[in-house]
Amino acid sequence: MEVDGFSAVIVGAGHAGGRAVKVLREEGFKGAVTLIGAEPHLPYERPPLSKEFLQVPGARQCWVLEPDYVYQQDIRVRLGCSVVSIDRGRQVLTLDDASEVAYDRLLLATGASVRQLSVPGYPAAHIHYLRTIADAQALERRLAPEQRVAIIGGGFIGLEVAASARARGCEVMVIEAADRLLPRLGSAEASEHVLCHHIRCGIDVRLGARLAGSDGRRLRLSDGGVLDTDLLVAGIGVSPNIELASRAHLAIDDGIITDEYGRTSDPNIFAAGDVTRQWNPALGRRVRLESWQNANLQAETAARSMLGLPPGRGEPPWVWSDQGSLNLQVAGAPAEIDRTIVRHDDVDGSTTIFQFLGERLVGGITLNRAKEMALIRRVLTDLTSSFDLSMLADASIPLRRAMRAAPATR
Amino acid sequence: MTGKITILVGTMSGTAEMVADALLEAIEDAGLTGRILRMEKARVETLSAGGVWLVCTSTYGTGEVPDNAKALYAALGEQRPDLSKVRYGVVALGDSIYPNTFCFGGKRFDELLSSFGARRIGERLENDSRSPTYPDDAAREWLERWLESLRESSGDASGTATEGAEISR
Repeated sequence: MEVDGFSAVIVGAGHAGGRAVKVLREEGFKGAVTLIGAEPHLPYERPPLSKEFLQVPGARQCWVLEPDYVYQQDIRVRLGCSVVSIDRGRQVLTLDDASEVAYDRLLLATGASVRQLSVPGYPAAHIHYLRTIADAQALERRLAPEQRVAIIGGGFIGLEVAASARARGCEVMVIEAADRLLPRLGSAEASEHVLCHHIRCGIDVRLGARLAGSDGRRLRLSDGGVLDTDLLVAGIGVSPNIELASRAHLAIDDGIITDEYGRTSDPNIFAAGDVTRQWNPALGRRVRLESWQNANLQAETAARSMLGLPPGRGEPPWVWSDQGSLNLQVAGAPAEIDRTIVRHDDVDGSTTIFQFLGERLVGGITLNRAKEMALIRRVLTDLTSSFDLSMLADASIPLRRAMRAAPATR
Repeated sequence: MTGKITILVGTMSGTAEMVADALLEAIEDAGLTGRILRMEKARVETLSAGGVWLVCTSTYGTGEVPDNAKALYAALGEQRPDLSKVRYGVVALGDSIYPNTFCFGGKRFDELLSSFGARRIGERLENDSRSPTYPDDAAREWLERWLESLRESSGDASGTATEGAEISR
Protein backbone atom coordinates (compact mmCIF):
# COMPACT_ATOMS: atom_id res chain seq x y z
CA MET A 1 0.00 0.00 0.00
CA GLU A 2 1.37 3.39 -1.00
CA VAL A 3 0.32 5.03 2.19
CA ASP A 4 3.25 4.18 4.42
CA GLY A 5 4.76 7.60 4.24
CA PHE A 6 1.89 9.61 5.57
CA SER A 7 0.98 10.35 9.14
CA ALA A 8 -2.32 9.55 10.78
CA VAL A 9 -3.41 11.56 13.79
CA ILE A 10 -6.30 10.60 16.03
CA VAL A 11 -7.81 13.13 18.36
CA GLY A 12 -9.68 11.48 21.21
CA ALA A 13 -8.41 8.48 23.17
CA GLY A 14 -11.74 6.86 23.96
CA HIS A 15 -13.05 3.61 22.59
CA ALA A 16 -13.34 4.78 18.99
CA GLY A 17 -9.91 6.41 19.00
CA GLY A 18 -8.24 3.35 20.46
CA ARG A 19 -9.99 0.97 18.13
CA ALA A 20 -9.03 3.10 15.11
CA VAL A 21 -5.36 2.93 16.08
CA LYS A 22 -5.55 -0.86 16.11
CA VAL A 23 -7.33 -1.07 12.78
CA LEU A 24 -4.75 1.18 11.11
CA ARG A 25 -1.97 -1.16 12.20
CA GLU A 26 -3.97 -4.33 11.53
CA GLU A 27 -4.49 -3.15 7.97
CA GLY A 28 -0.76 -2.88 7.58
CA PHE A 29 -0.32 0.87 7.86
CA LYS A 30 3.36 1.49 8.65
CA GLY A 31 3.31 5.29 8.83
CA ALA A 32 3.31 7.42 11.95
CA VAL A 33 0.26 7.10 14.20
CA THR A 34 -0.33 9.71 16.87
CA LEU A 35 -3.08 9.45 19.46
CA ILE A 36 -4.03 12.56 21.41
CA GLY A 37 -6.35 12.30 24.42
CA ALA A 38 -7.61 14.53 27.18
CA GLU A 39 -7.85 11.83 29.85
CA PRO A 40 -4.62 10.65 31.47
CA HIS A 41 -5.36 7.05 30.38
CA LEU A 42 -4.93 4.98 27.29
CA PRO A 43 -8.28 4.05 25.74
CA TYR A 44 -10.31 1.73 27.98
CA GLU A 45 -13.68 0.01 27.90
CA ARG A 46 -16.39 2.17 29.44
CA PRO A 47 -19.22 -0.35 30.01
CA PRO A 48 -17.70 -1.70 33.28
CA LEU A 49 -17.60 1.80 34.82
CA SER A 50 -21.24 1.73 35.88
CA LYS A 51 -21.08 -1.93 36.99
CA GLU A 52 -17.85 -3.59 38.26
CA PHE A 53 -16.24 -0.24 39.03
CA LEU A 54 -19.08 0.76 41.33
CA GLN A 55 -19.68 -2.67 42.82
CA VAL A 56 -16.11 -3.81 43.47
CA PRO A 57 -13.66 -1.40 45.06
CA GLY A 58 -10.37 -1.36 43.18
CA ALA A 59 -11.75 -2.82 39.94
CA ARG A 60 -9.20 -2.70 37.14
CA GLN A 61 -9.75 -1.22 33.74
CA CYS A 62 -9.97 -3.26 30.60
CA TRP A 63 -7.85 -1.66 27.88
CA VAL A 64 -9.00 -1.00 24.36
CA LEU A 65 -5.35 -0.21 23.63
CA GLU A 66 -2.90 -2.01 25.88
CA PRO A 67 0.31 -0.27 27.01
CA ASP A 68 2.37 -3.12 25.50
CA TYR A 69 0.63 -2.70 22.19
CA VAL A 70 1.34 1.01 22.10
CA TYR A 71 5.02 0.32 22.68
CA GLN A 72 5.33 -2.57 20.23
CA GLN A 73 3.42 -0.81 17.47
CA ASP A 74 5.25 2.46 17.95
CA ILE A 75 2.15 4.55 18.56
CA ARG A 76 2.92 8.13 19.56
CA VAL A 77 0.68 8.98 22.46
CA ARG A 78 -0.06 12.41 23.88
CA LEU A 79 -2.32 12.01 26.92
CA GLY A 80 -3.71 14.65 29.23
CA CYS A 81 -3.69 17.27 26.54
CA SER A 82 -6.23 18.70 24.20
CA VAL A 83 -6.24 20.07 20.71
CA VAL A 84 -7.05 23.76 20.50
CA SER A 85 -7.37 24.19 16.76
CA ILE A 86 -7.10 22.58 13.36
CA ASP A 87 -5.44 24.49 10.56
CA ARG A 88 -7.02 22.66 7.64
CA GLY A 89 -4.97 24.49 5.04
CA ARG A 90 -1.61 23.60 6.56
CA GLN A 91 -2.94 20.30 7.97
CA VAL A 92 -1.58 21.09 11.39
CA LEU A 93 -3.07 20.79 14.88
CA THR A 94 -2.23 23.14 17.71
CA LEU A 95 -2.29 21.61 21.18
CA ASP A 96 -3.01 23.32 24.48
CA ASP A 97 0.72 23.54 25.23
CA ALA A 98 1.14 25.45 21.93
CA SER A 99 2.97 22.57 20.27
CA GLU A 100 2.00 21.59 16.74
CA VAL A 101 1.27 18.19 15.23
CA ALA A 102 1.06 17.77 11.45
CA TYR A 103 -1.32 15.29 9.85
CA ASP A 104 -2.01 13.83 6.44
CA ARG A 105 -5.17 12.10 7.63
CA LEU A 106 -6.98 13.18 10.78
CA LEU A 107 -9.59 11.27 12.76
CA LEU A 108 -11.78 13.15 15.19
CA ALA A 109 -13.01 10.80 17.91
CA THR A 110 -13.54 13.41 20.56
CA GLY A 111 -16.53 11.65 22.08
CA ALA A 112 -19.17 13.30 24.19
CA SER A 113 -19.42 15.03 27.54
CA VAL A 114 -22.06 14.54 30.18
CA ARG A 115 -24.76 17.16 30.32
CA GLN A 116 -24.39 19.19 33.46
CA LEU A 117 -27.21 19.38 35.95
CA SER A 118 -27.97 22.65 37.59
CA VAL A 119 -29.96 22.62 40.83
CA PRO A 120 -30.63 25.98 42.43
CA GLY A 121 -29.10 25.93 45.89
CA TYR A 122 -27.10 22.73 45.42
CA PRO A 123 -23.32 23.03 44.97
CA ALA A 124 -22.50 21.98 41.41
CA ALA A 125 -19.17 20.52 42.53
CA HIS A 126 -20.99 17.95 44.69
CA ILE A 127 -22.95 16.45 41.82
CA HIS A 128 -21.55 13.16 40.54
CA TYR A 129 -21.55 12.04 36.91
CA LEU A 130 -20.41 8.88 35.21
CA ARG A 131 -18.31 8.98 32.10
CA THR A 132 -14.68 8.39 33.00
CA ILE A 133 -12.64 6.14 35.27
CA ALA A 134 -12.11 9.15 37.53
CA ASP A 135 -15.89 9.68 37.74
CA ALA A 136 -16.45 6.02 38.59
CA GLN A 137 -13.74 5.95 41.26
CA ALA A 138 -15.03 9.13 42.89
CA LEU A 139 -18.56 7.75 42.98
CA GLU A 140 -17.50 4.29 44.19
CA ARG A 141 -15.82 5.80 47.25
CA ARG A 142 -19.12 7.35 48.29
CA LEU A 143 -21.26 4.22 47.97
CA ALA A 144 -21.87 2.64 51.34
CA PRO A 145 -24.78 0.91 53.09
CA GLU A 146 -27.64 3.21 53.97
CA GLN A 147 -26.23 6.14 52.03
CA ARG A 148 -29.16 7.94 50.45
CA VAL A 149 -28.46 8.27 46.76
CA ALA A 150 -30.63 10.35 44.46
CA ILE A 151 -30.14 9.71 40.78
CA ILE A 152 -31.42 12.20 38.26
CA GLY A 153 -32.27 10.53 34.98
CA GLY A 154 -33.88 7.17 34.32
CA GLY A 155 -31.85 6.32 31.23
CA PHE A 156 -29.28 3.55 30.86
CA ILE A 157 -26.56 5.21 32.93
CA GLY A 158 -28.90 6.34 35.68
CA LEU A 159 -30.46 2.91 36.02
CA GLU A 160 -27.14 1.05 35.91
CA VAL A 161 -25.78 3.32 38.63
CA ALA A 162 -29.01 2.82 40.59
CA ALA A 163 -28.64 -0.97 40.43
CA SER A 164 -24.96 -0.83 41.42
CA ALA A 165 -25.65 1.55 44.32
CA ARG A 166 -28.45 -0.73 45.49
CA ALA A 167 -26.05 -3.68 45.35
CA ARG A 168 -23.78 -1.71 47.68
CA GLY A 169 -26.65 -1.35 50.15
CA CYS A 170 -27.54 2.25 49.40
CA GLU A 171 -31.06 3.64 49.61
CA VAL A 172 -31.67 4.62 46.03
CA MET A 173 -34.13 6.96 44.40
CA VAL A 174 -34.38 7.56 40.66
CA ILE A 175 -35.99 10.76 39.44
CA GLU A 176 -37.08 10.85 35.80
CA ALA A 177 -38.76 13.79 34.11
CA ALA A 178 -40.65 11.68 31.57
CA ASP A 179 -43.67 9.57 32.44
CA ARG A 180 -41.63 6.38 32.06
CA LEU A 181 -38.12 5.02 32.48
CA LEU A 182 -35.89 4.77 29.40
CA PRO A 183 -38.08 7.21 27.45
CA ARG A 184 -35.70 7.25 24.47
CA LEU A 185 -36.31 3.54 23.96
CA GLY A 186 -39.73 4.22 22.49
CA SER A 187 -41.27 1.09 23.97
CA ALA A 188 -43.89 1.42 26.68
CA GLU A 189 -43.78 -2.35 27.27
CA ALA A 190 -40.03 -2.36 27.87
CA SER A 191 -40.21 0.72 30.09
CA GLU A 192 -42.90 -0.91 32.22
CA HIS A 193 -40.87 -4.11 32.56
CA VAL A 194 -37.79 -2.13 33.62
CA LEU A 195 -39.83 -0.10 36.11
CA CYS A 196 -41.17 -3.27 37.76
CA HIS A 197 -37.66 -4.68 37.98
CA HIS A 198 -36.29 -1.66 39.82
CA ILE A 199 -39.26 -1.39 42.15
CA ARG A 200 -38.79 -5.06 43.04
CA CYS A 201 -35.15 -4.31 43.82
CA GLY A 202 -36.26 -1.72 46.33
CA ILE A 203 -35.48 1.36 44.28
CA ASP A 204 -37.78 4.34 44.74
CA VAL A 205 -38.69 5.53 41.24
CA ARG A 206 -40.31 8.93 40.74
CA LEU A 207 -41.66 9.51 37.25
CA GLY A 208 -42.72 12.85 35.82
CA ALA A 209 -40.62 14.57 38.45
CA ARG A 210 -37.91 17.19 38.29
CA LEU A 211 -35.62 18.80 40.79
CA ALA A 212 -36.87 22.26 41.68
CA GLY A 213 -34.18 23.32 44.12
CA SER A 214 -32.23 22.54 47.24
CA ASP A 215 -31.07 24.01 50.50
CA GLY A 216 -27.70 22.34 49.96
CA ARG A 217 -28.67 18.95 51.34
CA ARG A 218 -32.39 18.42 51.01
CA LEU A 219 -33.75 18.30 47.48
CA ARG A 220 -37.04 19.85 46.49
CA LEU A 221 -39.00 18.12 43.75
CA SER A 222 -41.26 19.83 41.22
CA ASP A 223 -44.28 18.05 42.72
CA GLY A 224 -43.58 19.66 46.07
CA GLY A 225 -41.94 16.60 47.61
CA VAL A 226 -38.80 17.04 49.68
CA LEU A 227 -36.10 14.43 50.13
CA ASP A 228 -32.95 14.06 52.13
CA THR A 229 -29.98 12.83 50.26
CA ASP A 230 -26.33 12.12 50.89
CA LEU A 231 -25.33 11.85 47.29
CA LEU A 232 -26.63 13.28 44.04
CA VAL A 233 -25.81 11.60 40.73
CA ALA A 234 -26.88 12.93 37.35
CA GLY A 235 -27.24 10.80 34.24
CA ILE A 236 -29.13 13.13 31.94
CA GLY A 237 -27.42 12.43 28.66
CA VAL A 238 -24.38 13.63 26.80
CA SER A 239 -23.49 16.28 24.26
CA PRO A 240 -21.06 15.57 21.43
CA ASN A 241 -17.69 17.29 21.75
CA ILE A 242 -17.95 19.26 18.52
CA GLU A 243 -16.15 22.47 19.54
CA LEU A 244 -12.89 21.63 17.80
CA ALA A 245 -14.66 20.60 14.58
CA SER A 246 -16.92 23.61 14.81
CA ARG A 247 -13.98 26.01 15.11
CA ALA A 248 -12.51 24.33 12.03
CA HIS A 249 -15.78 24.97 10.17
CA LEU A 250 -16.54 21.32 9.45
CA ALA A 251 -20.17 20.50 8.71
CA ILE A 252 -22.01 19.93 11.98
CA ASP A 253 -25.53 19.09 13.09
CA ASP A 254 -25.50 18.12 16.76
CA GLY A 255 -22.50 15.96 15.89
CA ILE A 256 -19.87 16.03 13.18
CA ILE A 257 -21.58 15.09 9.94
CA THR A 258 -20.01 12.17 8.11
CA ASP A 259 -20.98 9.97 5.22
CA GLU A 260 -21.24 6.21 5.65
CA TYR A 261 -17.46 5.95 5.26
CA GLY A 262 -16.76 8.25 8.17
CA ARG A 263 -15.64 11.16 5.96
CA THR A 264 -16.37 14.68 7.13
CA SER A 265 -16.77 17.69 4.86
CA ASP A 266 -12.95 17.87 4.63
CA PRO A 267 -11.47 15.02 2.55
CA ASN A 268 -8.51 14.67 4.93
CA ILE A 269 -10.60 14.59 8.07
CA PHE A 270 -12.67 11.66 9.36
CA ALA A 271 -14.80 11.20 12.45
CA ALA A 272 -15.97 8.24 14.52
CA GLY A 273 -17.83 7.41 17.72
CA ASP A 274 -20.18 9.40 19.93
CA VAL A 275 -19.21 12.71 18.30
CA THR A 276 -20.51 11.84 14.84
CA ARG A 277 -23.79 12.11 13.08
CA GLN A 278 -23.28 9.53 10.39
CA TRP A 279 -25.29 8.75 7.29
CA ASN A 280 -26.75 5.28 7.77
CA PRO A 281 -27.80 3.78 4.41
CA ALA A 282 -29.81 0.98 6.02
CA LEU A 283 -31.87 3.44 8.04
CA GLY A 284 -31.94 6.08 5.30
CA ARG A 285 -31.06 8.93 7.63
CA ARG A 286 -28.23 10.42 9.64
CA VAL A 287 -27.97 9.12 13.18
CA ARG A 288 -25.89 9.93 16.19
CA LEU A 289 -25.46 6.81 18.26
CA GLU A 290 -23.84 6.54 21.67
CA SER A 291 -22.75 2.97 22.10
CA TRP A 292 -19.87 0.57 22.42
CA GLN A 293 -20.82 -1.14 19.18
CA ASN A 294 -21.08 2.15 17.30
CA ALA A 295 -17.65 3.25 18.51
CA ASN A 296 -16.17 -0.02 17.25
CA LEU A 297 -17.91 -0.06 13.89
CA GLN A 298 -17.35 3.58 13.05
CA ALA A 299 -13.72 3.43 14.13
CA GLU A 300 -13.14 0.43 11.88
CA THR A 301 -14.84 2.08 8.93
CA ALA A 302 -13.14 5.45 9.40
CA ALA A 303 -9.70 3.91 9.87
CA ARG A 304 -10.17 1.90 6.69
CA SER A 305 -11.33 4.98 4.82
CA MET A 306 -8.22 6.83 5.99
CA LEU A 307 -6.21 4.15 4.19
CA GLY A 308 -8.45 4.20 1.12
CA LEU A 309 -9.97 0.81 1.94
CA PRO A 310 -13.66 -0.08 1.64
CA PRO A 311 -15.72 -0.08 4.84
CA GLY A 312 -16.10 -3.13 7.05
CA ARG A 313 -19.33 -4.87 7.90
CA GLY A 314 -22.53 -3.02 8.54
CA GLU A 315 -24.65 -3.97 11.52
CA PRO A 316 -27.92 -2.68 12.89
CA PRO A 317 -27.50 -0.48 15.96
CA TRP A 318 -27.27 -2.55 19.14
CA VAL A 319 -26.89 -1.60 22.78
CA TRP A 320 -27.08 -3.52 26.01
CA SER A 321 -27.51 -2.54 29.60
CA ASP A 322 -27.02 -4.61 32.74
CA GLN A 323 -29.05 -3.32 35.67
CA GLY A 324 -28.56 -5.74 38.54
CA SER A 325 -30.17 -9.01 37.50
CA LEU A 326 -31.79 -7.39 34.46
CA ASN A 327 -30.07 -7.70 31.11
CA LEU A 328 -31.59 -5.45 28.52
CA GLN A 329 -30.58 -5.49 24.87
CA VAL A 330 -31.90 -3.29 22.11
CA ALA A 331 -31.33 -3.70 18.39
CA GLY A 332 -32.38 -1.47 15.52
CA ALA A 333 -33.22 2.21 15.60
CA PRO A 334 -36.76 2.30 14.27
CA ALA A 335 -38.09 5.73 13.38
CA GLU A 336 -41.53 4.24 12.94
CA ILE A 337 -43.24 1.12 14.30
CA ASP A 338 -46.76 0.04 13.40
CA ARG A 339 -46.90 -3.30 15.12
CA THR A 340 -45.41 -4.79 18.26
CA ILE A 341 -45.37 -8.43 19.29
CA VAL A 342 -44.53 -9.26 22.88
CA ARG A 343 -43.15 -12.66 23.78
CA HIS A 344 -43.38 -13.19 27.50
CA ASP A 345 -42.35 -16.19 29.56
CA ASP A 346 -44.70 -16.43 32.53
CA VAL A 347 -42.34 -18.75 34.38
CA ASP A 348 -39.21 -16.61 34.56
CA GLY A 349 -40.70 -13.25 33.59
CA SER A 350 -38.35 -12.79 30.65
CA THR A 351 -39.66 -10.83 27.68
CA THR A 352 -38.78 -10.15 24.08
CA ILE A 353 -40.40 -7.32 22.16
CA PHE A 354 -40.46 -7.44 18.36
CA GLN A 355 -41.07 -4.17 16.52
CA PHE A 356 -42.41 -4.17 12.97
CA LEU A 357 -43.15 -1.78 10.18
CA GLY A 358 -45.54 -3.74 8.02
CA GLU A 359 -44.16 -7.26 7.83
CA ARG A 360 -40.57 -6.13 8.28
CA LEU A 361 -38.79 -6.41 11.62
CA VAL A 362 -37.29 -3.00 12.40
CA GLY A 363 -36.29 -3.43 16.02
CA GLY A 364 -36.14 -5.80 18.95
CA ILE A 365 -35.71 -5.58 22.69
CA THR A 366 -34.83 -8.47 24.97
CA LEU A 367 -35.32 -8.35 28.73
CA ASN A 368 -33.42 -11.30 30.25
CA ARG A 369 -33.90 -13.18 26.98
CA ALA A 370 -30.47 -12.40 25.60
CA LYS A 371 -30.25 -15.59 23.60
CA GLU A 372 -32.94 -14.31 21.27
CA MET A 373 -31.01 -11.14 20.48
CA ALA A 374 -28.51 -12.89 18.22
CA LEU A 375 -31.36 -14.05 15.99
CA ILE A 376 -33.08 -10.67 16.06
CA ARG A 377 -29.85 -8.99 14.95
CA ARG A 378 -29.53 -11.57 12.23
CA VAL A 379 -33.00 -10.89 10.84
CA LEU A 380 -32.41 -7.13 11.04
CA THR A 381 -29.17 -7.53 9.09
CA ASP A 382 -30.11 -10.18 6.57
CA LEU A 383 -33.04 -8.92 4.55
CA THR A 384 -33.64 -12.38 3.08
CA SER A 385 -34.57 -13.76 6.49
CA SER A 386 -37.67 -13.07 8.53
CA PHE A 387 -39.75 -14.38 11.41
CA ASP A 388 -43.02 -16.21 11.13
CA LEU A 389 -45.11 -13.63 12.98
CA SER A 390 -47.69 -16.15 14.09
CA MET A 391 -45.09 -17.99 16.16
CA LEU A 392 -43.49 -15.07 17.94
CA ALA A 393 -45.91 -14.52 20.79
CA ASP A 394 -45.50 -18.06 22.12
CA ALA A 395 -42.38 -18.07 24.29
CA SER A 396 -42.43 -21.86 24.49
CA ILE A 397 -41.55 -22.17 20.79
CA PRO A 398 -37.80 -21.76 20.29
CA LEU A 399 -37.18 -18.61 18.29
CA ARG A 400 -34.97 -20.50 15.84
CA ARG A 401 -38.08 -22.37 14.74
CA ALA A 402 -39.83 -19.11 13.92
CA MET A 403 -37.08 -18.05 11.53
CA ARG A 404 -38.18 -18.24 7.92
CA ALA A 405 -34.76 -18.55 6.32
CA ALA A 406 -33.50 -21.78 7.82
CA PRO A 407 -30.01 -20.86 9.06
CA ALA A 408 -28.61 -24.27 8.12
CA THR A 409 -29.35 -23.72 4.43
CA ARG A 410 -27.45 -20.48 4.27
CA MET B 1 -23.74 -43.37 32.23
CA THR B 2 -22.83 -41.09 29.41
CA GLY B 3 -26.08 -41.09 27.54
CA LYS B 4 -26.94 -37.57 28.48
CA ILE B 5 -24.80 -34.76 27.17
CA THR B 6 -24.78 -31.71 29.39
CA ILE B 7 -24.14 -28.41 27.66
CA LEU B 8 -22.49 -26.07 30.11
CA VAL B 9 -23.15 -22.47 29.09
CA GLY B 10 -21.07 -19.40 29.85
CA THR B 11 -22.65 -16.36 28.27
CA MET B 12 -22.49 -12.59 28.28
CA SER B 13 -24.49 -11.20 25.39
CA GLY B 14 -26.62 -14.31 24.90
CA THR B 15 -24.95 -15.70 21.82
CA ALA B 16 -23.47 -18.71 23.64
CA GLU B 17 -26.91 -19.44 25.03
CA MET B 18 -28.38 -19.34 21.55
CA VAL B 19 -25.62 -21.61 20.27
CA ALA B 20 -26.33 -24.00 23.16
CA ASP B 21 -29.97 -24.19 22.05
CA ALA B 22 -28.80 -25.08 18.54
CA LEU B 23 -26.43 -27.73 19.94
CA LEU B 24 -29.19 -29.26 22.04
CA GLU B 25 -31.47 -29.36 19.04
CA ALA B 26 -28.77 -31.10 17.00
CA ILE B 27 -28.03 -33.56 19.81
CA GLU B 28 -31.70 -34.46 19.96
CA ASP B 29 -31.91 -34.68 16.18
CA ALA B 30 -29.09 -37.23 16.40
CA GLY B 31 -31.29 -39.30 18.69
CA LEU B 32 -29.33 -38.55 21.83
CA THR B 33 -30.42 -36.83 24.98
CA GLY B 34 -29.00 -33.61 26.25
CA ARG B 35 -29.65 -30.74 28.60
CA ILE B 36 -28.51 -27.18 29.03
CA LEU B 37 -26.97 -26.09 32.31
CA ARG B 38 -26.04 -22.46 32.80
CA MET B 39 -22.69 -22.18 34.50
CA GLU B 40 -23.94 -20.19 37.47
CA LYS B 41 -26.15 -23.15 38.29
CA ALA B 42 -23.45 -25.80 37.85
CA ARG B 43 -21.69 -27.38 40.83
CA VAL B 44 -18.24 -28.91 40.96
CA GLU B 45 -19.63 -32.16 42.42
CA THR B 46 -21.99 -32.62 39.48
CA LEU B 47 -19.09 -32.24 37.12
CA SER B 48 -16.75 -34.57 39.01
CA ALA B 49 -19.44 -37.26 39.02
CA GLY B 50 -18.45 -37.71 35.39
CA GLY B 51 -20.33 -38.01 32.14
CA VAL B 52 -20.20 -36.21 28.83
CA TRP B 53 -20.03 -32.43 28.85
CA LEU B 54 -20.02 -29.75 26.23
CA VAL B 55 -18.56 -26.48 27.37
CA CYS B 56 -20.08 -23.68 25.31
CA THR B 57 -18.76 -20.30 26.32
CA SER B 58 -18.00 -16.85 25.04
CA THR B 59 -15.08 -14.67 26.06
CA TYR B 60 -15.38 -11.42 27.90
CA GLY B 61 -13.15 -8.35 27.86
CA THR B 62 -9.49 -9.22 27.70
CA GLY B 63 -9.78 -12.97 27.73
CA GLU B 64 -11.97 -13.47 30.78
CA VAL B 65 -14.64 -16.10 31.22
CA PRO B 66 -18.15 -14.57 31.21
CA ASP B 67 -19.65 -13.28 34.46
CA ASN B 68 -21.97 -16.25 34.91
CA ALA B 69 -18.96 -18.59 34.56
CA LYS B 70 -16.69 -16.91 37.08
CA ALA B 71 -17.87 -18.74 40.21
CA LEU B 72 -17.61 -22.19 38.62
CA TYR B 73 -14.23 -21.40 37.13
CA ALA B 74 -12.92 -20.23 40.49
CA ALA B 75 -14.45 -23.18 42.38
CA LEU B 76 -12.84 -25.67 40.01
CA GLY B 77 -9.48 -24.00 40.49
CA GLU B 78 -9.79 -24.04 44.27
CA GLN B 79 -11.25 -27.52 44.76
CA ARG B 80 -9.11 -29.22 42.12
CA PRO B 81 -11.58 -32.11 41.69
CA ASP B 82 -10.70 -35.43 40.11
CA LEU B 83 -12.37 -35.22 36.71
CA SER B 84 -11.06 -38.49 35.29
CA LYS B 85 -14.61 -39.68 34.68
CA VAL B 86 -15.38 -36.66 32.53
CA ARG B 87 -15.27 -36.53 28.75
CA TYR B 88 -15.89 -33.17 27.20
CA GLY B 89 -15.90 -30.99 24.12
CA VAL B 90 -15.41 -27.24 23.83
CA VAL B 91 -17.30 -24.70 21.77
CA ALA B 92 -15.44 -21.43 22.24
CA LEU B 93 -16.83 -18.14 20.98
CA GLY B 94 -14.63 -15.14 20.42
CA ASP B 95 -14.09 -11.97 18.49
CA SER B 96 -10.89 -11.51 16.51
CA ILE B 97 -11.07 -7.85 17.47
CA TYR B 98 -9.08 -9.24 20.44
CA PRO B 99 -6.48 -11.38 18.64
CA ASN B 100 -4.30 -11.98 21.70
CA THR B 101 -7.08 -13.40 23.81
CA PHE B 102 -9.26 -14.87 21.08
CA CYS B 103 -11.67 -17.52 22.44
CA PHE B 104 -9.91 -17.48 25.81
CA GLY B 105 -13.16 -18.20 27.65
CA GLY B 106 -13.33 -21.66 26.07
CA LYS B 107 -9.58 -22.17 26.12
CA ARG B 108 -9.39 -21.46 29.85
CA PHE B 109 -12.06 -24.07 30.64
CA ASP B 110 -10.35 -26.53 28.31
CA GLU B 111 -7.07 -26.09 30.14
CA LEU B 112 -8.66 -26.33 33.56
CA LEU B 113 -10.72 -29.43 32.86
CA SER B 114 -7.86 -31.33 31.22
CA SER B 115 -5.49 -30.42 34.05
CA PHE B 116 -7.82 -32.24 36.45
CA GLY B 117 -7.87 -35.39 34.37
CA ALA B 118 -10.92 -34.80 32.17
CA ARG B 119 -10.52 -36.10 28.65
CA ARG B 120 -11.26 -33.81 25.76
CA ILE B 121 -12.98 -35.37 22.80
CA GLY B 122 -12.20 -33.97 19.36
CA GLU B 123 -10.88 -30.55 18.47
CA ARG B 124 -12.08 -27.37 20.10
CA LEU B 125 -14.45 -25.27 18.00
CA GLU B 126 -13.23 -21.68 17.92
CA ASN B 127 -15.78 -19.41 16.32
CA ASP B 128 -15.02 -15.84 15.36
CA SER B 129 -18.03 -13.54 15.58
CA ARG B 130 -16.59 -11.77 12.54
CA SER B 131 -16.64 -14.86 10.37
CA PRO B 132 -19.41 -15.02 7.78
CA THR B 133 -20.63 -18.33 9.24
CA TYR B 134 -23.20 -17.97 11.98
CA PRO B 135 -21.96 -19.49 15.25
CA ASP B 136 -24.97 -21.79 15.59
CA ASP B 137 -24.41 -23.13 12.07
CA ALA B 138 -20.71 -23.62 12.78
CA ALA B 139 -21.57 -25.38 16.04
CA ARG B 140 -24.05 -27.77 14.43
CA GLU B 141 -21.54 -28.68 11.76
CA TRP B 142 -18.79 -29.15 14.33
CA LEU B 143 -21.10 -31.25 16.49
CA GLU B 144 -21.46 -33.91 13.79
CA ARG B 145 -17.72 -34.55 13.79
CA TRP B 146 -17.61 -34.32 17.55
CA LEU B 147 -20.31 -36.95 17.99
CA GLU B 148 -18.29 -39.23 15.70
CA SER B 149 -15.25 -38.78 17.92
CA LEU B 150 -17.38 -39.35 20.96
CA ARG B 151 -18.66 -42.63 19.55
CA GLU B 152 -15.11 -43.71 18.80
CA SER B 153 -13.92 -42.79 22.26
CA SER B 154 -16.81 -44.70 23.79
CA GLY B 155 -15.82 -47.72 21.77
CA ASP B 156 -12.16 -47.85 22.73
CA ALA B 157 -11.34 -46.50 26.14
CA SER B 158 -13.96 -46.50 28.81
CA GLY B 159 -15.71 -49.37 27.75
CA THR B 160 -18.95 -50.69 28.82
CA ALA B 161 -21.13 -51.99 26.06
CA THR B 162 -24.08 -50.02 27.36
CA GLU B 163 -22.16 -46.80 27.13
CA GLY B 164 -20.97 -47.43 23.60
CA ALA B 165 -24.40 -48.52 22.55
CA GLU B 166 -26.04 -45.44 23.94
CA ILE B 167 -23.71 -43.04 22.27
CA SER B 168 -23.85 -44.78 18.94
CA ARG B 169 -27.60 -45.08 19.34
